[in-house]
Amino acid sequence: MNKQQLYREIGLVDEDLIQEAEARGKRFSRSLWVKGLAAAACIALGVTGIAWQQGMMQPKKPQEFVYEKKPDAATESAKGNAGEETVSNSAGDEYALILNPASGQISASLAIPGHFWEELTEEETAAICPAAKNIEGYGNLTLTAHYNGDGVPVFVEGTAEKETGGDIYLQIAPGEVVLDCVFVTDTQEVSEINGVSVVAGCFDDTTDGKAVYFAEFMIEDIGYYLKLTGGKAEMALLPALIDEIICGGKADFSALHPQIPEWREDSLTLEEAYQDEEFGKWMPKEIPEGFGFEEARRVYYEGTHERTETNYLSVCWFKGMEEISWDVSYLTEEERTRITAVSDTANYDLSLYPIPMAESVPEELWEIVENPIFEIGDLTEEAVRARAYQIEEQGDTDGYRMRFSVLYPGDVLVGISVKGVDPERVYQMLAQLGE
Amino acid sequence: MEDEKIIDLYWKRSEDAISETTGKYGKCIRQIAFRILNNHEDAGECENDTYAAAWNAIPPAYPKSLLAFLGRLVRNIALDRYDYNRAKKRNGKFDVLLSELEECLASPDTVETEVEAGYVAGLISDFLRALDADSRCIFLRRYWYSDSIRDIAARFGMSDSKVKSNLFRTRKKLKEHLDKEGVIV
Repeated sequence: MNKQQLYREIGLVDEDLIQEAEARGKRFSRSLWVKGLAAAACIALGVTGIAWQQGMMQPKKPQEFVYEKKPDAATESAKGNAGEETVSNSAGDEYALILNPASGQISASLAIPGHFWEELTEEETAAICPAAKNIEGYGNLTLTAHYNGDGVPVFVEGTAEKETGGDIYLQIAPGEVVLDCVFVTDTQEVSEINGVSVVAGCFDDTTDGKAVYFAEFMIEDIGYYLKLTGGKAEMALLPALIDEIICGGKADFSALHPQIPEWREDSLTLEEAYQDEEFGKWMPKEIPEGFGFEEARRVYYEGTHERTETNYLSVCWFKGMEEISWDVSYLTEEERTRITAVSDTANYDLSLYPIPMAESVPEELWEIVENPIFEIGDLTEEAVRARAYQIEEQGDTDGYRMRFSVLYPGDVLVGISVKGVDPERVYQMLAQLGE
Repeated sequence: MEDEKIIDLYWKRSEDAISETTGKYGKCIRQIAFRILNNHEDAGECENDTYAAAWNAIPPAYPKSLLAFLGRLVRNIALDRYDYNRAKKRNGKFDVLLSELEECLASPDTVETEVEAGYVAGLISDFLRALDADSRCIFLRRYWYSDSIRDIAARFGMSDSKVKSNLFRTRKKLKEHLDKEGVIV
């Protein structure tokens, strides 16, 4: 068998595995703009599971069960105080919640320019969702509001886990919510709870053996999405929670008063990058011949109590398959652990670590060997050469590749990732900075 | 539209079958073809060839998973085109992916040998089921969907190097599994 035959055989693996790999993604990942990555801040709402069961293409029929609302405490108290037997009208209202068959879906991405988030205070939580303060079985649900750069709330979300297993996720948004589940039928049966139309669904998550129960509904112009994972107890809990949320009233987003942090994300020309007040002087004096300017980005996010400050200038040049990527920022505390002396060759000399490096590099050195930081006063051409390697890839350049960072006075950090430039030239570019 | 209804359109020989397929899976099919060929024109042609192949195959075929069925078609069509193009248009990225799979072979010779189609696939399926879900899906995203390392890292919230390490370990285990099963690779 050759590699192509093996590739074709992999194409014939069981279909449920292929479906699972299509649906599986990161759960509720929130990634900000970080150094060297794409422009706007993103939120990824991850899929939690997939309804795939081998050999079963037929969707399940909707399940219906009846939820009986418990009489409220005031009515019970009135009965007691009356001192006489009364016919109670509070035997409980009955709601039938229909669970439509569903499955997990590929994560949805929201690009939010200037994205920042804040945890809600008690008062804000009461204004958005009073029921979140004490959810049966889960306790207090901490809510977080996500805003765009103008301070406009995009959505509020909260998640909590039960000690006995299972978790809850709640999302509230002006307008429509973003689901990470999808119905497998073209139309869904709608239930009604407390006068509000609710579309609910369920599916079995075969990856961890739990079931997923969820519901979406609108209270006027505010969208709600509630999801529970677990078993029959959670299924029974869903309509009660929906009822409690509805009884708490429509979320009042005007009660949120975020502190809007300063931010910018700008594409620059090459001239603008060189003229940047903070980082322009740390741009390379000369670029090797043949490399053309590709793009420059200037990013700044003011630090908040939820996240640290982000502040950098990132520029890249291309020459066919070859490239120079140049990032300028200030050293962070986390990055200090990657600072190495040139004498500590184990931290950076790639010749010490045969391919595959996943096996040859000791685990405790992975982070520093991947991207060591040299202080400019300590940097030598030999050290730069020790970072360089060449590989033969069909269709790609066999030029030198290297990745490392250099620390300059004032804690200015220049991070480079290069393909197709000789180590001597790279050393010259770095040595000339700040002169 | 549900897969079942789309397949019914094929069986009824309705031309809506193709438009519905395009709407639901067109992007995925194009992406798989592009990752193998790295050329939009060629990928577009493979996409059209896939629809034609599906039209000819259904009926009598009644796939349980339309995604898997179409994905297999486009992978094979694109791989055939890749072989045809290789002298003129190289796709370094796909070459890298194929060379990774060489690690699963005892002796990476380039001569094709007789293999009953699907037999090794069954062994690979059994192997994958014994893995944790993330490793299983990472493997398939790389070698079935031909995702780049970076895309896989973004999907699973990992660094590139962690994805590479994970794939390396899985390839090593797959090689051991195939050796143990007595498959001559």
